Amino acid sequence: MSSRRPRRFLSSTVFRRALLANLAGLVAILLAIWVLFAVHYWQETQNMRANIETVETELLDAYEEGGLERVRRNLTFDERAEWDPDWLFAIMEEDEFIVRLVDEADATIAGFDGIDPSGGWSQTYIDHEDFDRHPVVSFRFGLESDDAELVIGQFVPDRLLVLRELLIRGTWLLSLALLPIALVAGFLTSRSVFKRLSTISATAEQVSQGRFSARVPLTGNGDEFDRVGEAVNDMLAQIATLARNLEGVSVGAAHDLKTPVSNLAGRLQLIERDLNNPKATSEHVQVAQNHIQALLRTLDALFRLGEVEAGKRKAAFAPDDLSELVEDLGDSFRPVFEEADKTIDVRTTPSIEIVGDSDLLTQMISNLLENVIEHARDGAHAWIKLRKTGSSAYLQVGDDGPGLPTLEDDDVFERFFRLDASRSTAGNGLGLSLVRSIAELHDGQARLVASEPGAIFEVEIPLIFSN
Amino acid sequence: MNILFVEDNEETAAFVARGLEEAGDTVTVVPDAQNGLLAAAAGQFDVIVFDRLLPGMDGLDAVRVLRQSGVTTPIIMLTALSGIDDRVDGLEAGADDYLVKPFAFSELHARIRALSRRQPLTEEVTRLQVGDLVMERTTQTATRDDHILDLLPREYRILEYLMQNEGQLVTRTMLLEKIWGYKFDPKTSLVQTHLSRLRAKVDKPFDTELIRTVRGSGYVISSS
Repeated sequence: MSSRRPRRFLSSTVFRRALLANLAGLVAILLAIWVLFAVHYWQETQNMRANIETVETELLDAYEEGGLERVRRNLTFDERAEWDPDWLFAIMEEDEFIVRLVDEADATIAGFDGIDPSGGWSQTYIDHEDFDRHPVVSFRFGLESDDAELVIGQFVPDRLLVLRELLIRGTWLLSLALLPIALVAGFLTSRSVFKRLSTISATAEQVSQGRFSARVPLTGNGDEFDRVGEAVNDMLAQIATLARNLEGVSVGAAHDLKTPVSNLAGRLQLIERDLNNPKATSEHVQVAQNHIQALLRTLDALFRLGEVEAGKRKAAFAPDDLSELVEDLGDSFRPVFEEADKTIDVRTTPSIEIVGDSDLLTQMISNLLENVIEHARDGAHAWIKLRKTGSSAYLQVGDDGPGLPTLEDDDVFERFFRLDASRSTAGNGLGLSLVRSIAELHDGQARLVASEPGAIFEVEIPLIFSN
Repeated sequence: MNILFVEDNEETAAFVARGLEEAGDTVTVVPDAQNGLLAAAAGQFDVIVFDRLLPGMDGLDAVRVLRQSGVTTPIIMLTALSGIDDRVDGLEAGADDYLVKPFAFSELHARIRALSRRQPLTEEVTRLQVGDLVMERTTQTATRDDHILDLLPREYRILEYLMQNEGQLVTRTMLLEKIWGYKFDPKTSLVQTHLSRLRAKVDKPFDTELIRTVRGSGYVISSS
């Protein structure tokens, strides 16, 4: 999409980053060259200083031997103590030294008149009508007894100056030439990124238009774009599964709500028919009320499920003695089991403490127990076990038959899941969904660990709840 | 009994008012929270039933205001919200009981009766008696016709609760809430099973039945 509109590149992050990276590279290169040059320049001047110091020693020796006069004589060439400016060409050519001897009034006694640096080491310049100001490394020092001073200097070699000039021009040239190159490189980089991204956004666009089967094409080279594409594809697959589940849930919900409503409608007709028979009418009303109870239970369970899955109840978590809870529920349900011609055996390790919501945990365990009462055969022996292993509490609820047909572990926890396709058995298929949701709210898991000969459900809840 | 019913849903109001009047109570129906507050503060009522979702004001706030202004009349909150926290919120605001819509009339009626009788029946009463059934709360023993009844702790508590509400309906939901502390409705006949065991101990060996089942609603204990 965007690759068709180049003006967008200016606002593209990739483009700007690429440009910035290129420019930073350029600056780094220039910086490196200039640092190298500076080091080189410094080294050269160090050599020059050493040379100047040699000359200084020679002249000081001469001074000690013969005083100012001797120095003057040493500086006299072609019978001239005062140097001709034109000699500078030869001095420059042969890397010789410029020397000047001055008296206390700063008048030249001998040497070249045109050099006048301040005391000690310094860099000064020499002007000549035939060449530009030329830098000179110089040293000025006093000759103790005569209040005179000596200046020794040496021209900075031409090659250094040429090199510097070259570098300055090169810097300008590089900056001017590389800016467009950086722009082009940035453009190309961002275009290739755009191309890869556009395959992902094209897929997203297709999905947003309702084609849920669209997937990001992968190049297979496993780069970061492939990884993003894979993640998007995984997400789409997950969404598709969820959407399918949701469809199943709404069909299940509609069915589970419709059944009691149609039964109610039927009962109303029967009431109308039997209006003159108070005994029959009262019977119908009783049955109708039972249907309403079933309806309300389904609605309550759905509501509770939503409440649990929204995680709202985590705020109310408190330490809880799970062992006590299980014992108490076991006691409460034992008569119900007996009434249903079943037995229940409760085995708990005492004082297993977890942090959680005791109302929800009670409902979770009671749902598991009710599941057994509903599905185990007559005369079945059921058991509930609670133990502590490692950092988790394990709660198992099982029975000795008839069990479940082999099926995907997860299926039984799906909302409105029923083994009985006709849905003629009692229950709304939400009990185990709630068990799983409550376990997950407590950072735990609910599993079906065995389906034959009897079903065994296990809930694992970490002892220390990590918030 | 004189009952104030603050409820904006006309159908619910009419259905409850009719039921209460038939049971011999006087009902004042007020459709909004402001007038409900005024009526509650002005009138002498035995029980106030307050809907939670009212136009103009949250019933929860109304109850809070009533409690702050020193009204001690027992209050039952009605609500369409059945979240566990909603219930806790209601009780914390100062309501004495909390009932989720839709409810059976008998359920509301039983709770109104239980609340209006509650004050004299506190823990200080050490001896409860219904006919020849006697409960000594200090020793936690129940006897009938001078025979000691062998009750499990939970059975003792159920019997105690029934006897505290002698002659009044105690519903299954009330028992679930008070005895078990469950805030959900189990699918199985948990309450029925325990009650039938209790009755086997309290009534079966004797000539007269004290605990009576009210079909579809709950249980009543009485000597007549």
